[in-house]
Amino acid sequence: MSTTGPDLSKLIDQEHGLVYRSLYSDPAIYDLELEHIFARCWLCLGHESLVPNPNDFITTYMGEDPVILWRNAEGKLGVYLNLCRHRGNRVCRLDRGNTNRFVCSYHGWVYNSDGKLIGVPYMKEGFMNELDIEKWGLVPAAKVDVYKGLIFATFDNDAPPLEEYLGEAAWYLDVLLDWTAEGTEFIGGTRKWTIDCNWKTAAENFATDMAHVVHTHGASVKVGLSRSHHMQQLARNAKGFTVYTKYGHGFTLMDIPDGLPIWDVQTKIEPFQRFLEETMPEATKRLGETRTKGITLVAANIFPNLSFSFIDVTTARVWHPRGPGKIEAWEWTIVPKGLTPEAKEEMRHVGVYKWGPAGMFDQDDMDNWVQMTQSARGWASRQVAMNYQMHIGDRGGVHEDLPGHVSALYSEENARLFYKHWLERVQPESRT
Amino acid sequence: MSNNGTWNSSHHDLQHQVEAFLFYEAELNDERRFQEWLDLLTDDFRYWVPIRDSVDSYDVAKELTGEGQMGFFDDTKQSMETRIRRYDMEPKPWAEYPPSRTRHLISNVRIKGVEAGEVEVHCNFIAYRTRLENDQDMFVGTRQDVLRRGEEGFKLARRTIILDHAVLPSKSLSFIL
Repeated sequence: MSTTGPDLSKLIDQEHGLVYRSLYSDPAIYDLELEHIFARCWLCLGHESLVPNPNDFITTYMGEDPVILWRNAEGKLGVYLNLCRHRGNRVCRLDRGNTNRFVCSYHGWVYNSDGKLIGVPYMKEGFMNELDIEKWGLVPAAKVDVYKGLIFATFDNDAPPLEEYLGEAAWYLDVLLDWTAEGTEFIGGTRKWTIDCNWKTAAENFATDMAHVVHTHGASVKVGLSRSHHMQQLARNAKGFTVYTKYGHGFTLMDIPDGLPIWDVQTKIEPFQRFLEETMPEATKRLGETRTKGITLVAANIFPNLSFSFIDVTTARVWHPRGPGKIEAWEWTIVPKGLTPEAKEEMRHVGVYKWGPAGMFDQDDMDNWVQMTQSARGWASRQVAMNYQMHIGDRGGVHEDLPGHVSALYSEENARLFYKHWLERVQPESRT
Repeated sequence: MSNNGTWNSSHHDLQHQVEAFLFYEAELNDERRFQEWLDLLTDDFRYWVPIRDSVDSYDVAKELTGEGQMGFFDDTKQSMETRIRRYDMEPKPWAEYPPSRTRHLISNVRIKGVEAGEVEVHCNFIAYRTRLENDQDMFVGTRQDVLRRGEEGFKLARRTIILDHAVLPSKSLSFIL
């Protein structure tokens, strides 16, 4: 029992698969999340292709903290709080660009792309030349690292190395990130939109939730949007797995006869299928047959707030929290480098059509998350346990070919373990 | 066509025809008469809504995504038909169940060019959408349309929508902007 806050373990009943929903609405719990999750976990800021050149920058967020992802003049990546050390003003008010310095709009303090303070007005008249500017640079993230193109940072000096944090999740992500030796890139453009929901409703949905696909997205399946193997399978009895890996990550995989390992695409994306077939031997050498011929990736969430859907075209998105009841979704289309222009254009087009706030697939999720979050504000609703019991009797375990903790396709084991991990983060004394 | 005051009665007629078309098209959209709305599109219709970022004033030419990049919409007449067919599916198209109530306000209609049976026309718009109990969204921007004159009057051949928003203030763009 925490001495400083509510006993959150009462909100999550691991044994019986029950979750109480103050954790979507309580501001005190949200503050704990900012401190123990968003300031401690590795958070994804984007992809190297967003800042390819020296002095390129984007601004983004780590939790609610505005940050600048900035390549310095030598090409090294840095991540800094977007926070002037004088009064806390943002030093950059742009979404992206290229510069070797930012000048704060308030009093004109100047910072370079190493994050160093290099100019202070009234140095002589005000600071009597006594300000040690070495001590007043932009505040850097504790650690910045890149995993096969994806850029991560954390505010926690004690965070495990990124590779350890991703752990067995990397084995699955590599199907996307390591398909070709050239790696991946984002297609240009970040779609950003606002959803009045708790960040966990979105993260959980991508970490685990095969059961919603046919119903929530049924209209899009039925209208013939996706003729992919996935959807044909879904209309029958789909086979597959959910996989949980250490540090809160969740994956959904399908086992489709003759299915493609990733981007199991609409039949009309022929240029892309050709690309996959041509690169398959090389990818199989690198990844092994289990990953290129045995499984099909469907969706994933890297704890806490980086989600992927791999159906047809890979969309990656970060759910930036904006209080307990709001998020901003920042979404990208990620493709292998080295695609033919024809294949890339097809991927781009399907990505536009399918994902994002106007995306035929994405749009139907949002109302559910908003309504779940709204109802978590009511006192009586908060007393009602939510059911996370799918496959609770069969808690899953080891699979000979698949790393991680493997459960059934229509299992909520990933969600149960997501909330277990969440609880261990926000209330460390709950660890058993 | 000049915007600087050189004006005659034929321009006046064209301005009137263009505005009447835009108002009628908005009416069909707002009244959810989608089959009639589709009939206003040419077979080679393209619909493009780029993404906008906040960028430096010297970079403003690059504030929108363009060719080969992502957007919110990149549709054809055929994909618009699919969006519209989806509205009547079971299971429900949840983002449009119950449907959005929309109001398109069209103003500042400027004819930018007339060529070979086509009129390039820009206008400003507010697309107000309310849904469910109290969802309210307001999308504001400029449209850059190409209207093509046929036997039955104008048809819409191209529409580019430049939204003023960087972060969209809404959970979905499930209706036709």
